[in-house]
Amino acid sequence: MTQDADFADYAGARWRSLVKSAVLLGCSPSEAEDLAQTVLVRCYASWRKVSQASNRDAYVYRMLVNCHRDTHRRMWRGEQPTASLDESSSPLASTSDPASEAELSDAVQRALDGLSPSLRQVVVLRFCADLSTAAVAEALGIPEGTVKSRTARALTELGRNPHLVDTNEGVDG
Amino acid sequence: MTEDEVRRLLDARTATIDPPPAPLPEITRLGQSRRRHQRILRAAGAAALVAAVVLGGVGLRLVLEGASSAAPSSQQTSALGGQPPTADQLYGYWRAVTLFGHHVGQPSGPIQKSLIVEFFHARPGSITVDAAKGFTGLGWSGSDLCNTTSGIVLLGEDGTFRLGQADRTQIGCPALQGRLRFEAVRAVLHARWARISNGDLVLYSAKAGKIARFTRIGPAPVSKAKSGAESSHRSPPSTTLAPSAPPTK
Repeated sequence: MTQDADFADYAGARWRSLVKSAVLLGCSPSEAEDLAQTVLVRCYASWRKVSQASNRDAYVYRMLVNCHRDTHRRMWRGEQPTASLDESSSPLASTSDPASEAELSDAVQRALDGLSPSLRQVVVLRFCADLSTAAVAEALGIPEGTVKSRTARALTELGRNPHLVDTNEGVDG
Repeated sequence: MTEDEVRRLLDARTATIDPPPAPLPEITRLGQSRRRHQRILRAAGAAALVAAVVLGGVGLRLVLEGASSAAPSSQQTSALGGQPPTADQLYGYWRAVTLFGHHVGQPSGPIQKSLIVEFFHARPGSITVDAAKGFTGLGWSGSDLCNTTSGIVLLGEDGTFRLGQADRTQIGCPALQGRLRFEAVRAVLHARWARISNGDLVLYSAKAGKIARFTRIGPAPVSKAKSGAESSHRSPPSTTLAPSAPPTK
């Protein structure tokens, strides 16, 4: 298989996951597509190095996290944090109708926004990109033990998050 | 909250996100362009590195052979007289007889104290610049009439001669000695050529002007010669600041 074909297979398979991960890291959907495209362009330019990496996904998601960090370091987001959130933003118990889905989605986004960047990166890579603990450690350049402790802390924080308090039943049910 | 619950929440958040297929042609085009830029940058970096190495080497050579640009012509060097000294010939104690045309050590002269310089064998590893071209394995030590100074000796086969940096602090030195100290240090540090003439060590400037004449006052003690290699910055004997004595020449 040629390098281009190999890259095309990989990019096709990871494209959606990269875009979704970028959204969960805090990008808007259009920004997420741009970010994923930037990452894949860099992958293509260094495909030999990427394909020879011990964990290709860890390498690529590390690029995603770094690109996201660089992008957000450069530009002012113009977002204004609020001290308290409107009660109406609480998610509904059911996800059957579009309005409920939108509210749940918004609640998850707000909960993720409440996490520190380091915890958020671990959550996204671990549970959205489905990387193993070792791969997340490699992607973020931190020890595996730190990944585990950050994961546990993130789960605790998310469990206590007021926006997600009522969601368990809704998601499960 | 469990891991599965988090997974479900994240799925719920991204369920509505349905990006178009990956724009592979665009990604490939941009990736190829990036590769080209990387290649150009690598080539430019390599060229810059080569240039830096070459120019740095030339610069280092000019620094180490700093005297060469101001070196006297062959006609001038032939007029120096005497023979270029070897390291073995320099080894030992030398007392200044004249400095810039003035007799040294005469009660009525401008430099009333005697000035003695010692050349000793230095252990290469003990000197940080031992890789410097021309390093002879000799160190020098002497007094600037207030403090003890020392350094390395660069000695070429043709008699080119340079002494390494010396500490020239004037802290704690009597003001009266300032000029004398300056002259004494200048004498040894500005020397660019050395010759052995009638058994004396004669130092010349880059323009072949005579700076100083030293007379040998005996080799270093044997024990010191052997242990001298252990320290290139040891103090010369106390006799270096001996009271003025009449010159032998």
